[in-house]
Amino acid sequence: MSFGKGIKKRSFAVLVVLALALFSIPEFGAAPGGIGTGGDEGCLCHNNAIPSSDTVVTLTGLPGTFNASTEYPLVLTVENQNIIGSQDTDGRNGGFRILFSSGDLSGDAALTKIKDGGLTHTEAGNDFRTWNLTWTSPSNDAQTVDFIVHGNAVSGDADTVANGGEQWNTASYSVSGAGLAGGIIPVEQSDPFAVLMAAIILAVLLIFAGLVFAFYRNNPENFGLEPFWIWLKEWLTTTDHKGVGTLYFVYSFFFFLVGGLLALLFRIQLALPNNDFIPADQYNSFFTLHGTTMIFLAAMPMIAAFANWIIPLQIGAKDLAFPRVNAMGFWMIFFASFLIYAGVANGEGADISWVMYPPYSSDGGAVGPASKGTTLFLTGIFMLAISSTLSGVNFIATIFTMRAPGVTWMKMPLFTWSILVANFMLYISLPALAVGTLFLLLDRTIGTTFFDVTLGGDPILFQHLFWFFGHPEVYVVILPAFGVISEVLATSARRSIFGYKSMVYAMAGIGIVGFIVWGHHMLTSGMDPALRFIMMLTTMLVAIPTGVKIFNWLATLWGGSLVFKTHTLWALGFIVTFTMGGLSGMFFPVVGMDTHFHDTYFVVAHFHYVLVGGTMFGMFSAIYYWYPKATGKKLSERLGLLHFLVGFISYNATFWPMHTLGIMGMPRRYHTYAAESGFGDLNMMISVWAFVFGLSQLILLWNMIYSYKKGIPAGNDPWGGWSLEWATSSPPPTPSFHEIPTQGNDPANEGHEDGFLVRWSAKLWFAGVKEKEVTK
Amino acid sequence: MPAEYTIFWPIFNTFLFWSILVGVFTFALLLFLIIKYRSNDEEFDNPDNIQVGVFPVERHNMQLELAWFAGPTVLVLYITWIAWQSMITVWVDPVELENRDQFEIHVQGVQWGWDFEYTEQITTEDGTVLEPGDSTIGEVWVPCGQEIKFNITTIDILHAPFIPEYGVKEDAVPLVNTYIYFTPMENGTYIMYCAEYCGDGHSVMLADIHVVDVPNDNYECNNV
Repeated sequence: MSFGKGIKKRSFAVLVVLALALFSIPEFGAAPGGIGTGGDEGCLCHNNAIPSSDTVVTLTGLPGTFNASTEYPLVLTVENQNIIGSQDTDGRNGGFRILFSSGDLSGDAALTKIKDGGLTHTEAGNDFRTWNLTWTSPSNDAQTVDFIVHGNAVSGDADTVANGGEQWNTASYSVSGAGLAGGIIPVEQSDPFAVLMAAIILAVLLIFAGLVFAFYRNNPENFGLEPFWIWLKEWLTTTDHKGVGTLYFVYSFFFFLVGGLLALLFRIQLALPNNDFIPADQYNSFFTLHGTTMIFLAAMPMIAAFANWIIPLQIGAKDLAFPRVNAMGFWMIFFASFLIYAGVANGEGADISWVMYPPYSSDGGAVGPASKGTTLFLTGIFMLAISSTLSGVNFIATIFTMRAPGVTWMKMPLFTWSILVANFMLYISLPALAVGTLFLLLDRTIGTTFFDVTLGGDPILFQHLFWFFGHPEVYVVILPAFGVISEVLATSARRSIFGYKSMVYAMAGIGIVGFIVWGHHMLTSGMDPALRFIMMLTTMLVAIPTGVKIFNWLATLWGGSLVFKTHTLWALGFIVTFTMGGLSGMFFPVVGMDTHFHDTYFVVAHFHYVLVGGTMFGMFSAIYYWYPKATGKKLSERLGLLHFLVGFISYNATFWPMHTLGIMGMPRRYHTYAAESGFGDLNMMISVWAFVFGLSQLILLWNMIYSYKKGIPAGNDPWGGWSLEWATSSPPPTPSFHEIPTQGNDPANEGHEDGFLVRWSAKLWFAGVKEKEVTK
Repeated sequence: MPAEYTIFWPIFNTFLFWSILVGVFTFALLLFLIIKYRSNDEEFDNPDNIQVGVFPVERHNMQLELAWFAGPTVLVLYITWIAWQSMITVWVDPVELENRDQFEIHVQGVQWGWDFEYTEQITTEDGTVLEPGDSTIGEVWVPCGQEIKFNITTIDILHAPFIPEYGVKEDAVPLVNTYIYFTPMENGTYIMYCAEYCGDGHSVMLADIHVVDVPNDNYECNNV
C-alpha cells in the first residue's frame, strides 16, 4: 500500500472522509411521509409532512404509576404563538389525535370520538385548543401504557403562515402500572450492551496484546512498528486463495464467538420469567444481530474460508480464477459487519429480526418504529449480497475452467461438487435478497412505497423475495457441510464413497427442489391457500435426496475400517443431529401443524438442529480435517475429544427442550414470558446448557492456538485422503502448485461407460465446455 | 399446548410415529456400522486401493440406491396424503362457508394490543351483554361449542394472533383480511399471543380468550 503519489493520497483521504461521514450520521436524511402509515392512521394533520417545533403539545393529569381500572382526568393542550385562529369563539382552533396502548380514553361525546383505534376530535371539537379527557386505566396493571399525542394548531385562515395556516407536533407519554413492579423478579441492573461491548473490546485488546507478544518472542532484537507493519500489510493486501481463506476463517470464527456471546446474554434474560436483565428494545437487537451474525458473518464466511482454501487444491489449480475479486469479496464483507453493528454504538442497534419483515422495517409502526440503526444494517446486508455474488462467480468460474487434467465432472471430489451446487444456488437466489433489501432501504430513506399498503405497496412481496433467497440460503450453508461429511466419512472408513454419482445427483436435486419450497416459511402469512398445498408437497420432496445422501453415507461405512479421529466424531454427530433436524423439518409444511408451530420455539429448535447440528458440526469436522493441511500441524486429539463430548452433549441438552417449548406454544422472539405460562423450568435448563455449549467452543479456540505451536507435524496426507489437496505439502506453497498435477483414475473404473443421465446432463449443462473433457 | 380435540394431535402423532421409526432405524444402523466396522489398529486396510491423487474405485449398487430413493418417496407421498386432511383448517370451501353457523369477530392488531369487535350478541360470565358493534380491548368473549371465525387485520404493521390452545395462527396484514377458524369445546380462559415480531412490545401483546357456555344454544360444551 504505497501513498507515494498525490493522487492516491487524495483518494484515500476522500474515502476516509466518506467513511467517517457514514458512521457519524445515524440515519440518512429520512423524510417520513407523515406519522404512521399515512392517511388518518397517524396524524398527517392535513398537508404537512413535517411536525413543527412551534407547536407545543402537552397532556397533563397522567399519574406516575396507575392503579387498575381507575379513572384519571386529563387535560390536553395545544399551544402555538404563531397561528391565531379566526373562526371560533375564543380566536383559536386546533385538532388532535391520541393513540393509547391500553385502557379506555374518552372525552365530551360532542367534541371527541374514537376513530381508527385512536381518540380524535369531532367537527365541533375542532374549535378548541384545550380538551378535557378521561382515561380509564386497564384492569391489568402489570403493564406500561404508552400515549402518542398528535396536536395541530390551525388558523382557519390559510394566509397566516405560508404552509396552509397550520402547524402540528407530537408528544409521547408512558405510564407504568402499579402491578408492574411486583411482577418483575429483581435482577441486578446492568447495561448488557456495556457488557457486550466491553467483552468484545477486551477480546480485541487481548488479541492485539497476544500479537505484540508473539512478535516480541519471534524477534526480540528487531521489535518495533516496522516488522509489524510489513506483516500486517501482507495480510491486508493478500490475494492468494490461502491467505484470503485464512482471513475469512479468522473473521468468521471471531463472529461465531460474538454471535454466541449475544446468545448467551439473551439466554440470561430468558432463564427466568418476567426477567428484565436486558430491556426489550436491546433484547430485540440482540436476537436480530445474533441471527444475522451467525448466518451471514459466521456460517457463510466459514464456508467461504474452506472453499477458498480447499477448492483450488482439490481441483489442482494454482489459485482461484479471479484472485483480486476474491480479496475484494472479503473486504466488502469485512466492512459490511461494521455497518451491521453500527447502530449498537448509540444504543440503536437494528431490531428488525434477521427476516426483516416490512412494514416494521420499512418505516412502519407509529407507536414503536424500528431502531435508527436499521438503515445502516440494511446497507450492510446489501453489501453482503454483493460480496457473496462476487465470490459465487469466482468459485463457479474456477471450477468450470481451472480443473487439472483428470479432474472431470464426474471425477471431482464431493466437497468441490457441493461448493459448485451451493454457489449456483447462491448466485441465482441472491438477487432476490439484494432487491428486497434495496427496496427496504429506499422505503426508509427516500420515501418510496414498495411496502406501504396505503399507497399500493405490498409487505407480503418482501416475504416472497426474502424467502426466495432465504430457503435456498439454508441449502447453501448445508450443502458444503454435506460435502465435508462425504470426504471425512469416506476417508475415516478408508473406503471410497458409496454411490458417488447418486451423491452428485442428490445434491443437484436439492439444488433444484430448494428453489420451489420457499412458501413453507409463509404458510400463515395470509398467502393464497392454494399455494400452501403446493409448497407442502414440494417441501416434503426435499426429504428424498437428503435421505439418499444419509443412506449413502451409512453404506460407505459398511465394510470399512472406521478410525475415530475428532473429525470422524463430528461427522457421525452430524448424521445424528442433522437427521433429527431433518425429521423435525417434516412437521412444518403440514398446514394443520404449522398453524401451531410457525414462529414458536419448535422452529427455533428445528433450525438450530440443521444449522448448528448440520452446518456448524460439518464445519467443526472440516476444521479438524483440514487444519493439518493449512498449518502443517495436527490439532490435539485429546482436546478434540473433550470438545466433541462436551459440545455434542450440551448442544443436544440446549436445543432439544426447545421442541417441547414449541409444542407448549412459546412464541419466538419473546423478550419475556409470564411465570404461570410454565415455560420457566425448561428455559432455565436451556440457558444453563447454552453456557456449557458456548464455553466448550473455547476448547476449540485454545486447541487451534496451542496446536499451531505444539501440534504433531502432519505430513502431506495425515488421514489417508485421495484427493489432490493431499498431494501437496502442508502447508502448501504459493502458488499452490508449481506444476499443474494430473489426477489419476483407478483402473477398476476403466471401461465404465458413463450412463445415459451423465451424458445427457453433461451436454445440457456444460454445453460450452470442450466435448472431450466432458465425456472423458 | 393444543387441546386434545384439535386436528393438531392426530397429525402430530402420525408424524411423530414415522419420525421415530425412521430415526430409530437410521441410528440403529449407524450404531451397528460404527461398532461392527470400527478399526482395531492403525494399520491401513485398503480394500479400495486408495492412493493420493487417484480417483478411487466407484462403488455403487443400483438396486440399493433405487431402494432408498423409492422408500422415502413412498413414505413422503403417504404422509403428504395424511397432511392433506389438515388443509381444512385454512382452506375452507366458500360455498360450505356460507352455510356454516359461525360466530364472527373482527380482530384488529395495533402496536401493542388487540381490539375485538363483535358481530353477534354475547353475554359475559358477569352478565355484561356485548352487542354487535361493541368492542373490547385485550380480551374477548366467545361461545363454547360453536365455530369461531376471527376476521383479522391490523392498523399498523404485521402482527399474528396465536392461540396455542387451538393450534391456530395467521398473520394480520394491513388492509388485508385474513381468517382463522376454531371451535372451542371447553369453557375457560385461554391466552392469545402475538406471533409475528412487531417491535418492543411484542412479548406483552397478549389477549385473553374467554370461552363461555351460552345457555340454551344448539352447541354442546364440556364444562370444566
